[in-house]
Parts: sequence; C-alpha cells; structure tokens
Amino acid sequence: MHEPAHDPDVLLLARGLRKVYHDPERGEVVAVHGLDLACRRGEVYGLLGPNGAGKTTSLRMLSTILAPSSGRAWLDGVDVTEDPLEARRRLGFLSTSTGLYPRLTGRETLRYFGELHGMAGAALEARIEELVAAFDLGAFVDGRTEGFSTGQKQKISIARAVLHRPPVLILDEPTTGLDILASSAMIAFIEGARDQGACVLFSTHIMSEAERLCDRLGVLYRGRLLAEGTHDELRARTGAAYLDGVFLALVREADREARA
Amino acid sequence: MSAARQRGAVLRNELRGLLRDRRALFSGLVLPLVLYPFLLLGQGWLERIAQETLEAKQVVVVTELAAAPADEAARIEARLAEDPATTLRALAPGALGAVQQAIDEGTEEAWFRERELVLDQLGGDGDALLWAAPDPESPDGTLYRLHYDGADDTAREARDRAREVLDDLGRDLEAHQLDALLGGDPAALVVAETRDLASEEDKGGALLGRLLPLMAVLVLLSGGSYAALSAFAGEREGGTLETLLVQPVPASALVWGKFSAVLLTGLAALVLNLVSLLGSVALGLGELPGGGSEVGGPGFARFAVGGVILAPLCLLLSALLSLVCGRARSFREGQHYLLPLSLVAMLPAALATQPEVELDLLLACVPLAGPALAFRDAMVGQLAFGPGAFAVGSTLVWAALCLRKLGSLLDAERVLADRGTPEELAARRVQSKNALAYGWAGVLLVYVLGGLVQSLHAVWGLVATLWVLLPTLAVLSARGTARRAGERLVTTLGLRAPRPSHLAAALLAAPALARLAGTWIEWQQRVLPLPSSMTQGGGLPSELLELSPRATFLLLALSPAICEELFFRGAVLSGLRRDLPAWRVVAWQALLFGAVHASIYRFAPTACLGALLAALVLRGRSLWPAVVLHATYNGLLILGDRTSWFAAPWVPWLLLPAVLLACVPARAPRTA
Amino acid sequence: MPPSPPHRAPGLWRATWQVARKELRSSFRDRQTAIYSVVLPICLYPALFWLMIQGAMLVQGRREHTMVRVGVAHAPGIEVPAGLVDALVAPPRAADEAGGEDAPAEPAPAEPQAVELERVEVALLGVFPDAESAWGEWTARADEDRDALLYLAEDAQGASASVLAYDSSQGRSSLARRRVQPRVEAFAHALRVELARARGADPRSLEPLRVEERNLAPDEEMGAYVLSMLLPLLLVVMAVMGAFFPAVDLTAGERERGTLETTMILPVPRLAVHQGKIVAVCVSALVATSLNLLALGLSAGHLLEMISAGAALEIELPLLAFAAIAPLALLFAFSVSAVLTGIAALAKTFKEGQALLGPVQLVFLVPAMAAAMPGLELTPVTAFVPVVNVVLAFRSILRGEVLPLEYTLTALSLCGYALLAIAFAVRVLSRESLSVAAETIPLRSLVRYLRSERGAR
Repeated sequence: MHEPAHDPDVLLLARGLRKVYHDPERGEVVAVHGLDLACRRGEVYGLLGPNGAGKTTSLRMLSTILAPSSGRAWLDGVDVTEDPLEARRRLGFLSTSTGLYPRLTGRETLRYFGELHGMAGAALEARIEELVAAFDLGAFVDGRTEGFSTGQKQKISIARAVLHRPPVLILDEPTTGLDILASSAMIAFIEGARDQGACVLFSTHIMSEAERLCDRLGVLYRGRLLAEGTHDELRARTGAAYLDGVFLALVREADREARA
Repeated sequence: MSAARQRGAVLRNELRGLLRDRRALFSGLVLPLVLYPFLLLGQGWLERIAQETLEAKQVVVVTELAAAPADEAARIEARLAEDPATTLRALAPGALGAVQQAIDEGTEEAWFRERELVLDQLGGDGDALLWAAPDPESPDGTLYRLHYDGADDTAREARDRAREVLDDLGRDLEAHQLDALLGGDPAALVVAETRDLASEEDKGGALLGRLLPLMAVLVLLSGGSYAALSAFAGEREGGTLETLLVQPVPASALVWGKFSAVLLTGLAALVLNLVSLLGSVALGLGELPGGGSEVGGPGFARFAVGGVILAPLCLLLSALLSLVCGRARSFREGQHYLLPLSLVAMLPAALATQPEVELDLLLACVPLAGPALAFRDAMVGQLAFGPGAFAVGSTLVWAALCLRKLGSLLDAERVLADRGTPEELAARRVQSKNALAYGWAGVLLVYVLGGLVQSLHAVWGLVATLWVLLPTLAVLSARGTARRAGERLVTTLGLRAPRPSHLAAALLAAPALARLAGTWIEWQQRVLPLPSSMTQGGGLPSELLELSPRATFLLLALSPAICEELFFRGAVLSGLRRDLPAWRVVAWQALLFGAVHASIYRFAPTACLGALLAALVLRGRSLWPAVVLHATYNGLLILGDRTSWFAAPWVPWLLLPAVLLACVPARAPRTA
Repeated sequence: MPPSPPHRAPGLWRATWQVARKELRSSFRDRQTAIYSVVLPICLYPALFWLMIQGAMLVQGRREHTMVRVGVAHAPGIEVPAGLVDALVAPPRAADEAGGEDAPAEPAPAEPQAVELERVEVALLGVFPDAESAWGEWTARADEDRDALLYLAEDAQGASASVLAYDSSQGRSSLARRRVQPRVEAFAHALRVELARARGADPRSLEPLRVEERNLAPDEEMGAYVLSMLLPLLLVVMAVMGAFFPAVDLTAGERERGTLETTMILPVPRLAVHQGKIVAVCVSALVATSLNLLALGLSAGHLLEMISAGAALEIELPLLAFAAIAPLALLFAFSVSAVLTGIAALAKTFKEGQALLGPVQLVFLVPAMAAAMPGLELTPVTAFVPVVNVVLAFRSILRGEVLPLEYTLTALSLCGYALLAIAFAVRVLSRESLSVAAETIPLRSLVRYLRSERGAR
C-alpha cells in the first residue's frame, strides 16, 4: 500500500487495519476487518460499538500497543509500525482501565512520565505547574495516588496524557465508570483539546455523549466499520431520529446481511 | 533523549515505589536482620535444653560381668557408677546362658528369641545390657556384648555411656598389651597425629566460599522477588502497563530499568543478610553451618576476586528471577513460581559445598554451578585463571540470554492478551504446547510410575511401562492432536508405509551410531567418570541380565523401539511439528528423549539419538524407519559383542550412505 | 408481585458449611490454584530428587576417579618403614578394613579393564626438620600437585612425633587425608600382627577388649526411628506452607478483588462467613499438605532406597502410624489455618498478606526443629507447648510408643489453641473497620482494633 500524500491537516490516518488472532477451536478469528479512518486537526471522532466490537483492539493498534496483522496507520504523518517511538511522542493515550502507581504522589507521577518523554529540569516543572493550574490539581497533587478519589485519579491521568502536548489524543472509553461530575470534566477536557487544535479519537458506548461531542462518528460492529459520517449523514442514511436508533438500525442491518 | 536517562527514570520510579512500601521494606530488609539471631538463638536454645535433659537422664545399665577378668569388670563397673545419672543392676552369673545359645544359633528366628530374652532381662527399667561372654574367636578372651534398642533415645544414651567407658578402657589396655607382648608398638612411627596446615585466612575463606554462593541464591531470589513481582506483575495488576507502553521509550529501556531495581534490591538484601549472619556469629549467638565461630577473614585480594565472580552470578540470578516473575500475570501467580525456582537454583550452587567437585571447563559452563565453584576456589586463593574466566564468561552469556528473553516480557501482544479478547489468550501454539505437556508428563510418569513398578518386578515392570504406560499416553496425546487437526489417529501417529530408502538408511545408520555411542562413552568417562555403583553389571538389575538373548532382544530392543517411538516420535513429534520450525522440533525431541533416560551419563548419547530419530521421522513422515533404527541400535548395544563384524573398523563409516539415503525426499506425489 | 415468604435462614453450622463449600469450589476452580497446589508438588519432588541423585552420583564418580598425591618426608635419622609406600598406594581391601569380623566376602567382579579407583600417588620428599618446612618446600615446587603429607619423626624420648599434614580449606587435601588415614592405620595393624606372629603370640590378644554392639530394634523399627526425626518437621512445614496461600487468597485476596462486600451481605450470620472461610483454608491446607506428602512419598522411594542401602534399616512409610497421627494433624492444621487466616485478614492486598505471613511461617519453624532432638520428650508439660507438642507427639506415634495421657493432653491443648486462634481470626475478620479500611492495618494498632467494639453480626 502506498503512503497517501501527507495532508498536514489529517493527524490520524488508518488504511486497511486488520487484526487476526489464531484460535485453536475456531481457526483464525478476525477481530478487526480492514479499518479505514481519518481524523483531522480540531476534530473529535467517536467510535461507537457494543462490547467486543473491536473498538479496543482498533485503538490499541492505532496507539502502537498492538501490531496490526496488516494495514498501516499514521499519527501526524508518522507510521505507527515503522517508527513507533516517534509516533508515541505525538500521542496522548488514556483509558478507564488505566491505573496509577499507588505509592507515588500525583506530582511524581507527572514527573516520571515527563522524564520518559525526555522532558527535564525547569521546563518539566513549569509544564507540571501549568497543568496543576489548568486541571485544578493544587489541593491534592502532592498526596499519594492510593488515597485519591476516582475523579482525582482521572484528573491526574488526563494531565499525564497531555503532559507532552500531543497533537493526537486517543481515549478508550474515557468516561466508563465515572460519576457525573468526573465525566462532565472529561467531556470539558475533550472539548478544550479540540478547541486547541488537537485531533481526538475516542471510543464509547454511551450515545448521548457521542451525540454531544463528536464531529464525526463511526459505528464499529463485529470488527467492521458499518457506517461513518456526521450525525446528520448517519440519521439521513438510516432514517432514525436519534443516535440510538441509528445504531440499532445499522446493527440489525448487519445481522441480517450476515445471516443471508 | 538518551536511553540511559530513561532507564534511570524507570529505575528511580521502581525504587521509590519499593522504598515507600513499608511492609516490603520490613520483610525484605528489617526481617533478615532479626531473623538470623532469632533462628540461631532459637536453635541453640533448643539444642541446649535437649542436651541437658539427655545428660541428666537416669539410665539403668544391666550388667553381667562374671565371665570377664575380675579387674576389668571392677574397672568397668566403677567407671560406669561414677556418673550419678547412671544406675547399675547386676544379674546373677549365668543368667544369660539362653541368650548365648540363641546367638550361637545365628538364625533369624534365634535373633528374635535373643531379643525377647534380652528384653526380659532388661525388665521395665533397664535401658542397655552389658555382659561378658567367652570370645568365640580366641579361647581365653572375653567378648563384651552391649544390647540396646536403637530406636529408643534413652537406650541409645545408655549405650553411648557404656561404650565410652569400654573404649577408654580398651585404649588403656591396648597400650599395656603392646608393651607386655611386643615390648612396645612396632608401628609407633606411623601413628601420626593429623595436623591442619590451613591458615586462618584459608579456613575462613573456605567457609565463606562454601556458604556464600548458596546464600546468594536463596537471599537474592527471596529478597528480589518482591521487587521483581511488583516491577512486572504489579504493573499489569495495577493497570499501568498500557500507559507505560505508549510512552516513547523502547521496551529494552523499561526492562533494563526494572531489572536494575530487582538487582539492587536483591543485593541490598544479600548485604544485610550477610551482616546479620556474620554479626550474630561474631556476637556468639551461634555457629555458621559446618564451621566454627572463629572465622579468620579472607584478605582483600580474595574478596576482590570473589566479588568479580559473584557479580555475574548475582546478575544471572536477578535476570532469572525477573524472567520467572515477569511471566506471572499477578502477584498470586508469581508467588507460586518462587519456591520451585529457589529449590532448583539451589542444587547447582550446592555443588560448591562438596569438596570432591573441582572446577573444570565443563562444570564452569553449568549455570550457577560454575561461578559457585569458582567463587569457592577464589576465596581460598586457588582459582585457576582459565576455568575462572570461563565460569565468569559463561555466566555473563547466560545472563545476557536471560535479559534478551526478558525484553519480550513486555511485548504487548502477550501481556495484554488476558485483558483483551479471550481469543488472544488460548490462541498460541496449542498443538505444540499440548504435545510438550504430554512429553514432559511422559518423562515424569516413566520416571515415577515406571520406577515404581520396576522396583516391584524388574521384567514385568518394564513390560508394563513400555507396553501399557507409553502407548496409553501416546494415544491420549495423539487423539487431541488429531481432533484439532481434523485427521485420523493413524496419520497423526505417522503409521504409514515408509520409503524403502529410509528403511535402508535406518538399517545402515544403526550399527554406525551404536559404535559411535561406545566411543563417546569412553571419551565421556574422562570428564564425567561413572561411579563404581553404576559400573557393576552395567547398571541393569540382575533379573534382566539373566534373560535369554532372545528375550533380552524383545524386552530391551524391540519393545522400547516400538513403544518409545510411538510416544515420542509418533504422538509428541506430530504435535510439535504443527507449529514449530523443524530445528526446534528436533531440539525438543533431543531434550525429552535425553530426559526420559533419567541419567546424566546417558543424556548426551540418548539426546543425539532422539534428535536423529526425530529428523528421520520429520523427513519421511513415517514412524517405521525410526522403529527399525531404534531396535537395531539397542539390539547391537546389548548383543553386539556376539557378532564379529560389529567391531570392524568400517562400521562407523556406514553413517555416510545412511545420510545420503535419508536425504531422499518424502514420498513425492503430494496426495493431499 | 407479592413479597415471597421469607425462607428459613440456615443455622450457623449449616451456613458455615455452605460458605466453606463455595469458597473451596471457587478456589479450586481457579486454574492457577489447581495447577500449583496439585500439579506442582507432583512434578517438583521427583524432579528435585532426580537432580539430587544425579548430583550425588556425579560427586561419587568424581571422588572415586580423583587421584591424590601424598608426600612422605621424614626427620633426620628416621627411616621410612619398608612397605609403607606400597600400603599407601594400594587401596585397602574390604576384608582388611572391616577387621574381618562379619564382612561378607564379596566376589571381586572379574572386569578386565576395570579402572583403579581412589588412587593415591606417593612422592618421597626426603629429609626435613619438621612437617611445616616439608610442606612449604613442596608447595614451592610449582609444577607438582600436593594434597597431604606424612611426616615421620620421633621426639627426644623416642615416642612418635609423626604428623599427617593436610589443608582443610582444600577439598582434595581433605579427601587425601580421609583416604590415607585408614591406609596408614591398616599398615600399622599389619606391622603389629606380623611382629606378634614372629614372637609366637596370638595376634588377637593385641585387642584386649573386644566389644560387640547388638541392636535390639528390628530393621523396620530403625526405619521408623529415622523417619520419626524427619517427618514431624516436614508435616509442620507443609501444613504451614499449605495454609499460606489459601489464607492470603481468601482474605486479603478477596478484599483486593472486591468480592468481600458481596460475601458480607449474605443473609447468614457473620460468624458463619468467617468460620466458613477458616474451614475452607483448613481444607485447602490439608489437601496441599497431603498432596505434598504423597508426592514426596512416591518420589522419595529412590532416595530412601539409597539411604537405607548401606545401613541396617528398612524405611517404609508407616500407613498405620499416619492414620494414628491424622486426628492430631487435623487439629494442628486447623489451628495453623486459623492463625494464618487471622493474620492475613489484616492485609489489604495479596502481596501485603504475603509479606505479612512470611515471618509468621518462621515462627512455626524453630519449635518444629524439636523433632530431631533426642533429649526432648512428650511429657504432660511439653504437651502444652504449642508446635513442640505436635512434633513430639507425631514422633512418639511414629516410633510406636503409646502415651495415652500425653496424647490426650496434646489433643486438648491443640483444641484450646485452635479455639483461641479461631476466636482471634473471627475477631479480626469481623472488625467493621476492617471491611471498609482502605489501608492495611498497621501492626502497632492491631491491639486497638481488636479491643474496639465488635462489628455488626
């Protein structure tokens, strides 16, 4: 596959991403069938799908954690398989299952990941102060994370993800399991990131959230992208009034085709 | 950014986490400081109580010394009575006539009668019986008989007290007798006092040299285990691994940082343990195992050399620990790995405590054993440069291999598998994993169950092992393989017509290999000498040696050939080859086949044979050439000396045409 | 829907049993637990014993094939006795060594090219003023191996001042001493016998005091005696190790997995939940212990054969004695499980529980060493010393002694300790503050926790 001409506005690009696992009982199991995706500067892209649709696998391939079986992806023009280290420098990644080191303080956590990103000294400290101010961490940032509330942990994780000012943010179900305060803070953060020109790709199965946040949506089901577009495009295609309806209609259609 | 700084950041982070974990600190660092004084004190205290109780114990020695010379009897009785805790009870002269009779008879039945009679005489209170009888071997001599119950502690104590008296008296009398009969000891000149010429430095060095490698294994593994588990398993459990994997840091830097934390923690534990142990010995709380409490310290030079050898050993141990703990998905799982790991690692290090084992080039390459022996030699200032360098070098190579493998532990595909989709979990290489599990189970069962039935009956036990155990395992294993691959059991086992060229190759190769095995054994004798207990009767039970040649051939050549081939080259190989490259299949086959023969002396030849048989079966996809080769090979090894041509000089050269014939490809028409 | 009639709640013991059954089922369904508590011991011991046997053979083979060099030096005016060098070089024959008493005349296997074993090479060094200078001078000769030195001398009165010098820090030197000493003694004996014969005296009268020890214990009893030193310690160690994992897993592990709350809202008395857990730990400990012993027994066959090959004892695992031990072992396992469960319940996570129990294990180990100490016996007093009483009772049962009073007292005191331990464990487990505590409870505030008012039942 040729590398598409680099459009500086397309910060995240996937072409034919495919992930195959070998299962002893069922032979080859395809978790993701040739995913094509593009996400531009200042755009929020929502990946919708039920559990087991392949969302996590797709996001993990895009964020260099898993190697795709075939296909390629670029973050800010950097190929994720050819130069994963360079790609990771341009990436902020967060998921709800993300943990924190319990015996480190919030500040130490931020400093550790800053150091891993090659930041050091006064510049790093200044950046941490900036984040403390931006996310209002001042009250607890010097306590050990094992005593934090879920919301406090979430804030530290967000600060950790954007510490190195990544142009691309990949968030895997970032609001699952959060209370209403924490998830609204997360939504505010995503909106803020978009306004600053980042490209945000996130997965969710909460429709209301997607409806409110996303500039464009993709519906992933059984490893395939069933449909992609803005709300209006999707509504027009399925004839449903709300996103729930869009989703259900697409899934049923896919099930019908699969049976046929 | 430089990798060194990233490693530093990872290391700092790990250490910080560990240092803030108070319980880890306590069990890893404080505990050893308290442990040795506690253990040594506790043991010393128990021993003292036991000793004092034993010495104060009232024992009754029953005597009948009428037949002894009067002065001897008087001296014995006087000496025994000196101890206030010993009571004497004399029997009437002649009371033991029946005992003498029973002893004279000498049959087993008489022994029981003797026992009953003596127990009668001892009554309820007697602990040992000492009596004088006429010496059967010299007409006017006296034989003192001392009866006691060896399974009773009080009786043993009574025996010890009586024996001490008799031995003292004996020495006195002997010197007197030599003077009286011979006018002095003619051998006085060679009665030599033993004198230890080792310097204090050497003694201390020898003690530390034996102790430290073993201690390094134990302490590094237990002290570093917490760090290793929290660096690898903890990262998975805490959910931080995914985050770590999206940082722009190569996996090797992460692994290095974590590994350094494990190493440092282990070393800190080792130093603290040493300080505590040597400190409590210096304070007189106890003694070092196998040594005195006064240890002259080895000089700085020896410690320096010792350190150079110990350092790679610590490196290897920490790498091994990280490798094992790193595979654990959780603390719970990791916990299970530690005990077997320490037990298995202790054995090679324990070789250094055996003074007979000397460091040579072969042992220098054995992981853990080589550096342990080299360290021991260095501490007494006796290390030869060649083997020492070899031990250090080979340890570094092993450590490097471990570290390279360690890099793959943070491979996301593997690590995240159990979190992500279930497909990823069970997916990898089921056929070969299954086959390997069966292979090792077979090795174990042949050793344990086979050993058990063969100790009951040598011939039928062997028959049962070969014809029941192995075929059962083969069918069980092959059935799973066949089901997963969707083929017939017979195909899986490789029971199909062979190419004639392969059969011919097998027939030609067998005599050559049998001859080469003999040559090898002769050579091996130089580096791995057989102990005398193995050379008698070729190590075979006598029942097998008494069989007729035909039965021997059936039992020791044909049966193993069929049954072992069915299991190893049939079932196991068939599973292995489905998802492993040929060279790995051959390597596993060599290892399994060497292991099933359960002897380090036979490992090399049997492993080679296993590899060749595996290659032959892989080449032709048929089991029969392997059966023919195996049967002929075994037959020639057992009965070869009955044929004249087997010793001919051209026999080993038969291997060349055999290899050429084996190179003929498997049946050309691809029917599948 | 109308409210369903309330079911009759199960009684305390029934509920205890139900909880225990659920805990056991879930812990043995866990593949890890199953593999490591069942498969591992079965594989580990045979492998370990195999390695030990091979190691022992390796050592034996090397020892037999090692040649040592012994120097013979002498003081001025002393002559090396004729035949001494030959006596040093030739290995003593079995008959000479055993003094001809009852050594079975072993037919020498007629092997044509049998390698000579245990070889000694002798170097005649000449005249030296003392042993140290001979040793030093010999050491200075760089191209020669030297292992031991026999230095012959007399003092002013004509008594022997001979020395067998060696270096204890060197393996080969110690080996040389062990090899040479009996050969020198055999040579001395031969000299005496020869002279006695020459003088027409009976050589036997040179040994004036002949002693024969006769052991009244049959071989099986000797085997039981040896086992009685080892097995009790092993039983204690295995019971403690067996209870270790389940204790941590069912308390700290459950808190970590977050299933503790679910267990706590079960409509049964809390006491039943805690007791059920203790029972489950105890059963797991028993299973692990018996499996370990079984695997050990099965694979120890080879090793025991090797041990008993030379000595006059016959070791077999005494099944009857095992049956006799069982009730005491059960009580002991119960109290160990209760103690460990109580302590592990203080921890928040699995790894902390593990760190906490490590030292506790060792506390059991020291008193268990009493089994191998001959002076200690089971008396009405020692029957009340925890752990010591169990090992001593095991030992005496294995030796076939019958001490009904002491066994009863041991059982009673074990019951007492088990009850205390259970009370402790239940008290720790039922602390309300514990089920909600985010932190592991520090040991220093343990007493405070235990004294504070009880949690809800």
